[in-house]
Amino acid sequence: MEKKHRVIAAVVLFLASSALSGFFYLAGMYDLTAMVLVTLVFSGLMLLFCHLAVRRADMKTAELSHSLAEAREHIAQVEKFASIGTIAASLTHELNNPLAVILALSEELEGHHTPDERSAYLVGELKPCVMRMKRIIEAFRRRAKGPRASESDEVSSLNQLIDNSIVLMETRLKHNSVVFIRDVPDDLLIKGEPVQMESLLGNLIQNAIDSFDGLGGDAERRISVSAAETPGHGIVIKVSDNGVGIAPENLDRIFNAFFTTKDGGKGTGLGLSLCLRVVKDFGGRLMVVSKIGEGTTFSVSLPAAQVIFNSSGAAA
Amino acid sequence: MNSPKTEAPPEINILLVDDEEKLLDSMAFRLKREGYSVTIANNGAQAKLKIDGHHYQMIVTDLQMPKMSGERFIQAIRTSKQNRITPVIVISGHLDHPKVIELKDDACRLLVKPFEFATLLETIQKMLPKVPR
Repeated sequence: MEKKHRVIAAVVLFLASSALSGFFYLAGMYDLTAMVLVTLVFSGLMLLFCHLAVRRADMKTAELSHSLAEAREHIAQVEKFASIGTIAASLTHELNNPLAVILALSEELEGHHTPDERSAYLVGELKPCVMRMKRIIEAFRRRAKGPRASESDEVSSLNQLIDNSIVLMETRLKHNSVVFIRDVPDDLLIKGEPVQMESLLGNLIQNAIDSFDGLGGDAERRISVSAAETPGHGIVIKVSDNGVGIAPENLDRIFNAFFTTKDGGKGTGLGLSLCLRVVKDFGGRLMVVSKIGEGTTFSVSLPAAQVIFNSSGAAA
Repeated sequence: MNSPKTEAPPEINILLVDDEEKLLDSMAFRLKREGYSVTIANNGAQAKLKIDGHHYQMIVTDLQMPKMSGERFIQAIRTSKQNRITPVIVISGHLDHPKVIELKDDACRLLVKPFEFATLLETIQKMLPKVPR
């Protein structure tokens, strides 16, 4: 609309200048050559003004289109996150119901006289399996949707958070013969929503396991998780692997939602973007260093306010 | 059987409501074995008929059920003459069902499925003293 109005204004001004020149000519104040020159110069200025106005309008339109595209992308991402939360909630319900039946029946069987030792053993094995599945489902649901890290003042041991975060990965760690090295002080406590911290650690460790996919069968697979105090600045938690590494051209994009280099269907491209969100919510920083063929290290810096050393009882 | 064996008073009537028949059957069997008197219903509508004109000391109900949901059934309990203050244990596969949070009812507790029978028994025993005799 703005462009159209400016064009109309330019045309009206052109006609007005022509009429004014014609009036002066008829009044005998100009000769014909001067009138034509004045009209042309005036028209030229009007056309230039019109061109600049249109160009400005075009730039404004492009800017608005870009903002609109960004807003649409943001909405799409929010919707995708929301869908994941909905799917997780629905899946939790659908799986927990049959699990409740299995648990109830196995408990009832346990109470009955079993004909032989083997049967008693088999029935006894069912209950811990169900409870493990329950923990896995809970962990999945909490990862998909959870409260903000800063919403809680709960204090948790970092070692315990690491234990909880690898519940979903125990089988993969075992099958890949991963050497899991941990160098975390026992007295190190983290303040904030533990579920989010578990989600952060879980995603980083999951990525470390995925980094072994391109390695040969005999290669040693090693993941190390360490935490060290940086006096006056909180702590740095490092999750390192000796996997295939991340290509330099991808390092800037790995924290973008839905960006993934993993083979079809394996990665959602959400893990690291969620990690970044959690770290920011903790008021910290997330950094990555990687070299192709050598491995990757993710560093999570948490501010002193989020860290407690139990032995001293004071924030680091 | 690992659940604690306790002597339940003979007059304790419990209404169990769940559309998962196998679970319902197993819970009813073991509660009866613990000495409780148990009535079962497969959905909210059936359960609503059972509370009309009959008092229960405890109601255990699922939330997502056909015909009448657990939420509507709980509303029916709270407006009924005989069971207005009956303690209710909600058993659900949802970990934090918003409808349960909305209830904000002291006489209402949530047990997330799957749960051990011992946990159900303990919850029932904890909530029963609230019932006026």
